Amino acid sequence: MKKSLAPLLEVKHLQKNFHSKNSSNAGDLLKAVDDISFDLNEGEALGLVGESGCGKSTTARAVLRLIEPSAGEVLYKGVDLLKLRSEEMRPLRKEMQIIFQDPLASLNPKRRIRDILAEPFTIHGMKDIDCQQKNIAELLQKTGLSKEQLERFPHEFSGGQLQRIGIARALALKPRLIVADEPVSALDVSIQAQIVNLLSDLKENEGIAFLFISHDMGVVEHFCDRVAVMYLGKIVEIATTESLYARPLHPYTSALMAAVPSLKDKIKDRTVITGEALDASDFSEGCAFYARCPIKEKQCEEKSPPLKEISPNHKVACHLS
Amino acid sequence: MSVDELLVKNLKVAFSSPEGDLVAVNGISFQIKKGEILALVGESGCGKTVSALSILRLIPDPPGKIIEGEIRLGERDLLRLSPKELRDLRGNEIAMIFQDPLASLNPVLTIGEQIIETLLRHSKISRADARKRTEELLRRVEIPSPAEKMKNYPHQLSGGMRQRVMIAMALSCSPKILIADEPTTALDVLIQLQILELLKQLKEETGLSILLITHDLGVVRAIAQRVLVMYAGDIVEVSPIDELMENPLHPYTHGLIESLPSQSKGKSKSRLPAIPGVVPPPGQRPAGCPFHPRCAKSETRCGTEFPELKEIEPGHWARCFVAERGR
Repeated sequence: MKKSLAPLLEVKHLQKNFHSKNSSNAGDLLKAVDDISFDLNEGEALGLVGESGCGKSTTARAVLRLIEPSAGEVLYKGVDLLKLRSEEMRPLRKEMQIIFQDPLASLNPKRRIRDILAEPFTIHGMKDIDCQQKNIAELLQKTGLSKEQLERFPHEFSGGQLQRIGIARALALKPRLIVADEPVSALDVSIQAQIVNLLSDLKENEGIAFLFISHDMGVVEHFCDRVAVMYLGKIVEIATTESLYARPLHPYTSALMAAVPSLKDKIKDRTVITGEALDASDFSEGCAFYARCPIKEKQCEEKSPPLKEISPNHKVACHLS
Repeated sequence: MSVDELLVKNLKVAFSSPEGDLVAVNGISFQIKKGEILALVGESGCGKTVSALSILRLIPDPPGKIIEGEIRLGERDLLRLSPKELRDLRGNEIAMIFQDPLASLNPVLTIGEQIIETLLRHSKISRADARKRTEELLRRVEIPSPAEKMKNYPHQLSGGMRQRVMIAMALSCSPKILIADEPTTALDVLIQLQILELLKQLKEETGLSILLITHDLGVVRAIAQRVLVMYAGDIVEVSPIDELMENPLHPYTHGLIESLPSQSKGKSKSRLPAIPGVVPPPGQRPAGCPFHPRCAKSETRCGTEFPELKEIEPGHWARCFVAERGR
């Protein structure tokens, strides 16, 4: 990690509210992302983990302004993206790309792979056909695809190959930041490993920064340099991967890790966390994890724990850590 | 423990297509023992779901067709039952739950109503009794305040709760066998653990046999006793779970275990040992052993001869020439 340089991306107090549809508390705001801050350096991968509905995808989308954040700052190379008009955003968008979970749903079924890969260049004004073809050839080589595949349509590919195409498209404009939203969750294990290896190469050889969203603690441990654990819209723990996996401080992080079915031990050795995550609109004060926490105390119900640094590069939001 | 509940013999299933019949399940044989959780593992397209659906004769025909084989439950061959006998069998003796409970539940009926309906259809009890039994079933699958939850529609429940409702419904007629097709794949890890724990308890308390279909070896490890590994329509390895994890005999199984990120712990940030290539698409099955183009240990005869499934160590079978010869 290059500590001396300013981070590529700094997210400060990011917030995204939705209007609650639930009739009992109509008009109330649902805080999907609630005061989130983190930074990301070049060539670094930050994992965002948590259960469905915890706000990890919303955070990623708000960072790219695919949805408009309600408050906060997103500094990319020192420029606050949230203050830019959309035409000012456009040149920066080349440098920020996204890969989705379901590659088939994100590729136009009526277009050939060649056209899908040429589109980013056309949109950003690089209309010279020869130059496009040269770039496409380079993309194919980087992502392990072959020239013959260019004339085919998305439905003719397997999931792993489609994800390679999705990655190739994201790489077209030489991005510095890639948001990967569950990029390997829909893939079979043997293919999953191939795609994770491909992403690792991009991170190491090209210095691309990754915001890597996943619910798979194993993949995150392998791929990410740092990890942020989210629960009901807040970061409850953020640390380097080594530190987090060696010494998880938040009881929610420990539970998540213990719940991953491991090949080594059977189910009986683990504590089962009961209950389910609340709706983000259902709790008002105190620690959001209170209801499910195995080690809770009185104070946890009363006040919300702040995110504090326990050891260098390891922050946790828990009164008891 | 060693009583066979269900016996599948030489089951072969194909789907017709413009290019001719595509074989999805290539003559597989296995048995589910009483009170056992048997896992069927493999990647998408390997034929695991088709095998399971065939047991209940749920393969859409056409285009699907059970070409040959036998599925024995006690004295009966399920492939020779009349439609009436099949209806009696489904739910009463063999029940099934699926990956996506929302797609399996009726969106316009309350969950209570759906379970009551199941009970009334399958057993001769009064509506009041059915209601009472429904509440018991929901309590059995650990749904909090079941009487209240009965009034909910499926969309009002979380994914985990819906899967519990599906399990309650599957248990409503006390089947001997439960087929669970990726029951926790769509759930978060904490909820997955709860559901696995529930399945395990049900098996221990009621002697239910479970055929668990999954792609996740971690899930298998958590609750199964025995494992069948499928590749391209064949069973390539059968083994007790502990033995399989410690000593996988088939190179494919070995590759699957190795390619899990959790397995490469401590090996720093090295690359994951991926299995090269992809599963052969149906209709393009390679000659010989179908895994040989992706196999690191492949020999000349692997490309021409199809290996048999052989018992290499007691209770541990593999379909591989290299494993046969000993490593």
